[in-house]
Amino acid sequence: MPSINEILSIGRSGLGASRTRLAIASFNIANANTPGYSRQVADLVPSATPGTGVDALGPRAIRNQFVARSLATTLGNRGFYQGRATTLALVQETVNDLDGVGLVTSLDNFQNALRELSANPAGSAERQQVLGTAEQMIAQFKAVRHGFQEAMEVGEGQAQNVANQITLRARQVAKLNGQIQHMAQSGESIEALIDTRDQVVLELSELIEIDVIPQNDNSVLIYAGGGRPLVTDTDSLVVKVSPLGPAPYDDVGLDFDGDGDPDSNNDGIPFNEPGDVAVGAAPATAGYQLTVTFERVNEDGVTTSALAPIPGHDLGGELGGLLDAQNVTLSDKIDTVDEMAYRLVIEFNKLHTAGTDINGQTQNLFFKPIPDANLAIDTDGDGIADQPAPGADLLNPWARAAESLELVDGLTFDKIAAAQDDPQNPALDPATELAGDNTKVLEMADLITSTIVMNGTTLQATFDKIVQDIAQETQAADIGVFTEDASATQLSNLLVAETAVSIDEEMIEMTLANQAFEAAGMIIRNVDEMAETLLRLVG
Amino acid sequence: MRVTNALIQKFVSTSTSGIKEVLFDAAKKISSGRVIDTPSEDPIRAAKIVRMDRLIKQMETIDKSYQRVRSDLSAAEQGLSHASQSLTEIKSMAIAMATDTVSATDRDATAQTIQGFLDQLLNTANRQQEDGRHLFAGIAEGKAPYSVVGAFPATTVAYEGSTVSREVEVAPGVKVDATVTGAQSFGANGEVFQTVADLITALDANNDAAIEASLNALDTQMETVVVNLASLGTRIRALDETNTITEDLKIQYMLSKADVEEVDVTAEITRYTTAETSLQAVVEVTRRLMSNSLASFLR
Repeated sequence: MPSINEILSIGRSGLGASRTRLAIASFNIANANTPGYSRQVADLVPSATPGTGVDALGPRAIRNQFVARSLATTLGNRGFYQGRATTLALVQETVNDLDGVGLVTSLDNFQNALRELSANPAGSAERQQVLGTAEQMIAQFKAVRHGFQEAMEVGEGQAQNVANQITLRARQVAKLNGQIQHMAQSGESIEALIDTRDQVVLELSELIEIDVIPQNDNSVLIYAGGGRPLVTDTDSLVVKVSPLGPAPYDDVGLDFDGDGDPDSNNDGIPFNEPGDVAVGAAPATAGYQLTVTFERVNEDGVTTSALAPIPGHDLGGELGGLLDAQNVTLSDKIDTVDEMAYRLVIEFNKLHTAGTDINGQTQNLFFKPIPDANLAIDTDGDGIADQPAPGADLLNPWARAAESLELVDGLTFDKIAAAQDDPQNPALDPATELAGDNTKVLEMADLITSTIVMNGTTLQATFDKIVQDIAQETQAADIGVFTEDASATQLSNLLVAETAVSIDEEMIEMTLANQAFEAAGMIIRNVDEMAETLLRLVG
Repeated sequence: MRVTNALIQKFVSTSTSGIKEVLFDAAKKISSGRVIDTPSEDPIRAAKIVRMDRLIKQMETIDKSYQRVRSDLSAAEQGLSHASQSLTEIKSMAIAMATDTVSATDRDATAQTIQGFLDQLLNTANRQQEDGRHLFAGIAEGKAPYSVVGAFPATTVAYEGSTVSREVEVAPGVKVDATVTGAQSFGANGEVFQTVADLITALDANNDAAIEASLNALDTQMETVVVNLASLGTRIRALDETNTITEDLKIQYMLSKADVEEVDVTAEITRYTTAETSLQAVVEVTRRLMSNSLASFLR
């Protein structure tokens, strides 16, 4: 039979349990709107020694690791599409012809100006219009290339930004791991720190696809980039983004004129003398890719070790999306625009030089020739490069061609070669008939929509395909963001439904705890009365 | 399902932002009048809009060429018509002077009158359009096609224009001869003018046989002009018929473009109004949801 003291103990344990319940409910209410906070509960169990009261274990946080992991994966997918959408949206504005201004529109206008000239070959207004529309077309080529270039530069900057955020969060997780281990060893509550770490991990999962491996000591290991370690216990690696190969907008660092300063490939600086040799490092590769490395960096910021570069498709998250947009989508588009400019110049000049202007002159260029991007050495002393730099990997000959697109110097409207230069068939009187002939300008107009320029497809069709590809990929990215966002919302709702605080519930819990406290207090009051009665009896 | 404070927050935020997206999209479409602003909104529609735009501009360019050629051919037709009338007048006068009863003085005076008509004919043949191009010169439009050597009453007319024509596209895939040469109008070597010049010489010389010969040649040349006039008329009619193709195609393309580009304003206004009503409903529901709590009842 329990003694009076034992009954008192029971009452006291009841008071303690109710106080714990009240404290936890109060803590929950105070943190009802704290982002990422998991509600805590007290687990009431009978005391270890039977019949001696109640123990309140806890606080214990209510979490759902399964839903949390699914949410992290979904956020990673959303981040990937968001990364792609961000870069592609920038590029799309460059190629958007829907407002009636753009490269395809300017190609059409140039062709139409040539057609109008064919109806009145001697007309100065029509000739001036050809020059004007050619200038507009050149401006659009440059604008498109510049737009792609800017998107790539911005994309590279953004990727580095995201990499920095990943590094920061990885560092936070590593630090929290240490704090959690320390507090767990000293017996303090670690739930709040775990909540904070979970929140950081969720943010990290949106930036890069991660695998989280919980450890027995409440720390977590994080792997990313296809199984590479990012956070190891209390240590983390630094994420860096670097370009591999010369960017389509980079100078390659070759010195063509031997003056000790690197020149760009197509800056037109003449060689000083025959045999000028390019000095400096040749480009390592003709391709351009952004890569990511995880590096161990010491306190002075020096890299002490680095893992091998990670391919973009292993990354996931926003970083993976940004790299995917750069490496897969953009770099070949900028290359195609350069190819369009390069081939247009070659084929158009071929026709134009074979024609005759109204002054009877022939062999007139229309566009300034664009040299093969690989030519770096002048062997015959004519000031024009005619051989590649020794040991250099070959770029496409049209690298950066759209940047160099220009009308030939001194081209005036009377020098447009609208007439044919074939005196045998038929023989045209240069003094009277050439000005009125339109044979060559008809051929030049047809060239714009001919499949000769782009080896089987037209200029317009080529650019239309670029626009379509970007539009479809942007649309796919937008749909991806929308879909993953919807999934993330659903999962997030599931998670907060289970782990977040319901003030109503906590109010009930507080009321019940209060009642239990009063009831436990009554036990003690009654035991006290019983003791007094006993004392009176023996006293 | 547990309804927590965080869940209510998310519900409110998601609902209102979703509806506001719809409102913004509808307002954007109503103000711009276009279904899409960027290709990614509907890549297929965007490609069609760009394609229709290209075709419309192409039709407009072709139409400009047609207008120019039509104007040139019409002016040439007018010129030939005047020339035909002038030749008829000349013939009447020549017939009157072909009788024995007419004096040398009368023939001389008539020769001078016919010289005036010849000058008019040559002016017509060397006629220029507003931009300075010579109408009957073939592709040698920069120079007057007919020149006169000698003076009254003995003049020789030479053709210095081109016999080469220029082809111009006046309908999709249709190229026509866009110029008129002297040969197509006044004879391969300007025979019309030379015949009149010969008549003048004959009248001035009071030569009956030469007058008779010139009259016969004049008949032939009048027929040449009439035949060439008819041929020009046929060319103009064929040109007008091909232009109907261009016009029809242009209208079709414009309708197709409008079909895919322009927004149905009524539908968008309805969508906007519906979204507005939904937003008001969500706001009211939210107000009630957030004001009902046990905290109000438990003291």
